[in-house]
Amino acid sequence: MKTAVIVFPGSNSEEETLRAAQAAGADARLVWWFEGRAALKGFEAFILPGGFAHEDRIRAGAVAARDPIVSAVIDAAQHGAPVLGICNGAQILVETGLVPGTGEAGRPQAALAPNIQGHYLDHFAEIELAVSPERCIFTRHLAAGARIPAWASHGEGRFRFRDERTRERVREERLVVFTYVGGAPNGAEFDCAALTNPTGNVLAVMPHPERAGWRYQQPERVRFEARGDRAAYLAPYGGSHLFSLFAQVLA
Amino acid sequence: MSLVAVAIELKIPDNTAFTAYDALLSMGLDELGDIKRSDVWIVEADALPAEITHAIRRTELIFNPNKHMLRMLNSDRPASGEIWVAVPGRTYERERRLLEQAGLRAVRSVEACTRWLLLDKRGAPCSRAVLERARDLLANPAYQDALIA
Amino acid sequence: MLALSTSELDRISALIGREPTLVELYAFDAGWSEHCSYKSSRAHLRRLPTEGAAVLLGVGEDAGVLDLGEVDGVRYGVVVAHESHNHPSQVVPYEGAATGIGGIVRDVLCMGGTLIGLLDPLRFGRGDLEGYPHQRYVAQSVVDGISGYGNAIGVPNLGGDLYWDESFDDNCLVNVVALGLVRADEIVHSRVPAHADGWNLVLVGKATDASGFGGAAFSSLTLDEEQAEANKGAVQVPDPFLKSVLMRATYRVLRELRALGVRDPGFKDLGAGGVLGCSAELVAAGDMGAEIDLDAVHVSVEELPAEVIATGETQERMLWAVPAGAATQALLRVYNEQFGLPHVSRGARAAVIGRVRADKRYVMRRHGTVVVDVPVDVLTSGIRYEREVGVAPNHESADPVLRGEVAALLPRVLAHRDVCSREPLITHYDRVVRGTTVIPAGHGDAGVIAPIPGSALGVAVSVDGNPRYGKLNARVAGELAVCESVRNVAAVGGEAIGLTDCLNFGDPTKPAQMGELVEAIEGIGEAARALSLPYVSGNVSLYNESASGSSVAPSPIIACVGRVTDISHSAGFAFKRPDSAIVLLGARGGALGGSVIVEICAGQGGTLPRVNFDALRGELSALRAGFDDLTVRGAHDVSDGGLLACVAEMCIGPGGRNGIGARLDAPSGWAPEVPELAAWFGETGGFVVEVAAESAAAFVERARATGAYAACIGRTLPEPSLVAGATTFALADLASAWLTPLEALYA
Repeated sequence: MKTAVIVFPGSNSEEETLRAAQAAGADARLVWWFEGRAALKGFEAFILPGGFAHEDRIRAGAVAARDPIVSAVIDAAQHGAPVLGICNGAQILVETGLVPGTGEAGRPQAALAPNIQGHYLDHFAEIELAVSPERCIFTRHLAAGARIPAWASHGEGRFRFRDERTRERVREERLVVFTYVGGAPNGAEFDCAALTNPTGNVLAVMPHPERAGWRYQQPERVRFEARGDRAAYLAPYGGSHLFSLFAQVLA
Repeated sequence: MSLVAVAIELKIPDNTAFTAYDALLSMGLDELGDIKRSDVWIVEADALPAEITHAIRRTELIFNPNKHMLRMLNSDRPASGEIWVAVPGRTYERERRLLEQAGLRAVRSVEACTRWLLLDKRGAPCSRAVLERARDLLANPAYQDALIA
Repeated sequence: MLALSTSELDRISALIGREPTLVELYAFDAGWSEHCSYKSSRAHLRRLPTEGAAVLLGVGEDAGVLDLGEVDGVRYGVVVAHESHNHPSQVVPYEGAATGIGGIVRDVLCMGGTLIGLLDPLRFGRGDLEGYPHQRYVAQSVVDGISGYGNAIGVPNLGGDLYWDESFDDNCLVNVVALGLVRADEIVHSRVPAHADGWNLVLVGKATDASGFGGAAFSSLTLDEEQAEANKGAVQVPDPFLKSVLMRATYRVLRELRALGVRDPGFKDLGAGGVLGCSAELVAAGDMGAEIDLDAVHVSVEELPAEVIATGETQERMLWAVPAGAATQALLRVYNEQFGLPHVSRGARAAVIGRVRADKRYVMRRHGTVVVDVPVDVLTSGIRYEREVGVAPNHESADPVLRGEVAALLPRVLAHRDVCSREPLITHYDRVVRGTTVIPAGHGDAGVIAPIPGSALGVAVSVDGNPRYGKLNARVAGELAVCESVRNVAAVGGEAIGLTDCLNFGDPTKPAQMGELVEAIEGIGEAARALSLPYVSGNVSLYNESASGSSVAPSPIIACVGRVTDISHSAGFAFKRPDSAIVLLGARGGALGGSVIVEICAGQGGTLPRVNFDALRGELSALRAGFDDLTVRGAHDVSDGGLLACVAEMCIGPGGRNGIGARLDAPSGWAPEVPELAAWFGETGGFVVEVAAESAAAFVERARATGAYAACIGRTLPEPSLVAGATTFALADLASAWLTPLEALYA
């Protein structure tokens, strides 16, 4: 699947996100903001990487969500294209209203509010598939209840929903795809780590799968099992599974 | 019991205000001439207004004289051209404790919000219609309240 | 606000044969500041070892480069820079700490390096911050500033250290170390090449404004609370957003210049002394001169005075020297059009501001009028002072006899502000951005990354320096700082290849304080020579004292960079398996000075441990052999809190849930000469090593053969308890003592 990793001014995870997609088998390349929305023509799938687009000024994702290049992503998403937003990418997707996608188009129905601690939090986090794997195109190949290692690094990662009606829709339509094992450290509603849209082709995931996408990045106990095995250390592992979809060839 | 509202402004360049300005222009708010941003602190305590202000000036977490200017506000509500953005339910315990350490007794409440002042090309406050169009950029309704005069 | 003294003013006139212009005056003010000229320390710094097989580029440019090794026929270097931002961080902690990172990132960038890591050694005022709102504000805001900047630009935090002492009440220390990766054949230099006559000088970055005017002189002044307000002109405004874009644009510019065949551009960070200081150094280093047109410098406010444009220290700026024509065009296109700097930050851009001239004169014009016209060497040679070097005070005294019960003492040691877990602070930093992190900060004695995608070649790095030691004896503290940083790199399986130093001291015009600086240089030099390690970068920060004139604890802070041949052999400090042997490397001694246990039990007193370098070299080689053949499962250096705290941390693990216990034999068996409490809690350097049980005897024997002390002192346990001789602790109790103290400040 021809995949664009979109770099905003202020993105900072584009390189490793690109590597993770490629390691999973994707035909992926970086598309820079200054290439404009025309450069996205011909791409079938999109990844919005982590970072601080526009330095998160005003609010994480707020400015980037109104970027012309993102309007092209919104159009594609509305036609069913797979869109994965990681961390800052997730914040941007929430600000566009694409996820949870339950309200008026273009208006946010959720927020990634500041962590309850009031500051940035950087920690390893395991996330668990909380819905049927079929619910979201990025998880179709996973087993029910699958656990994926990831690394949470964010100051504004607390999923909040606009009102009771939105919450109800999110529950009914099973839009919370992943939850944090052991509860959300940042105080997210529903312990939400990743949120999809009703059609299941957009996924906004807060913790970074590409920061736990190779063996060498895993917690010590997992690394230790392969100690001394250089090839195993450098091989894709864990978080890499969230990029598998991009390796598929579209019919 | 007195209530004091102050606006704390940066005297160094405010990059966030620049970005908001550019973003609003790109969203088509052509009327916009300038944006100013400040933090509003509203402190209620069993003290004279001057004592409250003095304590605020001595609480570096709120006001660092090397980079901030402090302006007294006449009201704890937004004036014309202003959007005040607050996070409902957020508490300011750390600031309250520091204000007490700075000599203020019996602090009854501490509240804060971000004040955006939108000015048109002539430097006059923008109309309510312009503020309404800027609202979603400046406040996410899923966790922030935007107060408009 | 000139900081030049009257006698310095006279020297300037004598040097140039006339009264200086106002711009020249400010140029000398910055250039002759302690911050730029090292006028008190340079003669002494000459004694540090700076050469060695692993040095690709030694001191003298924006940063040094160490040889990491070869991957697929390409040789890679690690760029390493070490700076201080102490005074700005005291006055405006958030901005001060943030711009400290901003500056050092440019140093690495200007060597052609890709940023791969940051470390932050921090020293704050007294640990009990209740009732000290300013000290608390500084300690919190500095961390916020580092987090706000470092996280935004996407460079992983690989470590740092943290100490609390009341000597830092009025003058915190905020050092920063930055690492970069560069191909050895693509190192860019902070000088113009010999054939640069007529090349363009291109200024890139933020528009010049009045912020940071007088910064170099400011950072060399003693801080006085009354003056804090007056220093506001020197507040530098960080812009990590612009930096993030500048970094990526610069990586592309470097590629385009290589494609155009420009192999030797000049590239230098604008730091102290602004446009003038930077351009003068860039051309003087290549024996050239320069002609600068101040009207071409992009400014954010019209009609800034010439001296502000010339010497102001606005952040986020760098200067290129490139050939006219295609190279200049490419540079302007990438920065201004592709990456659109003017849209990223108001007024930011790349602009041609002058050219290189061969005659070694430095000429600067404003509105057509010459405002500087001097031989360039006059601007860059600085001045030197023969400071009176007094006798450094030695505050060591007889080692006290410790009294107390191990059962009560260990939890107190673990909860001590200089021992307890740094996790509540470290979680503010992004440790894993770039996806290269193997051992995150706080999980090993050194951070480990694998910076070259697809390769198992790793970099280990640690930064160390104990102010409690510095207070007793600056020279020995210097030696110990070097040893600890080298030990930390070894403890994760790395081989030390080079060092940097940042010397944070008091007022050099006071002979005793100058004496401490000189002694510390002796100490760090001696240790480096004994371990055959070169210094490739360094920094001196003086006038770190309170308004009342007392110096901060003498603080030589040392960073050690190590090579990890194969990351699959490296390991963090947590115990990995039950039933491993616990081996102690390094004999226990009776020296207790500066130790945490003395502070808890006796208040003060004691001597500092003297290093036996023969034994240390033996420990290091034994440990390396154990990592090579995988018999070593992990290691932790014995430092703050001593051996028992070290073992407790290995049981608890970085997150507190490692849950592997340990049984240690009573010290009478393995340290019979040393009193029991000194054996458990003394801070004489060494390692606790986890070794597969079946390999333990061979490991100990091999270590002893090198001349090192080695002994098997216990075993790891499947159950969560720590047995120390006759005393048993539940790990949960120890974990809560160790994990929670910093939460009040940072969680």
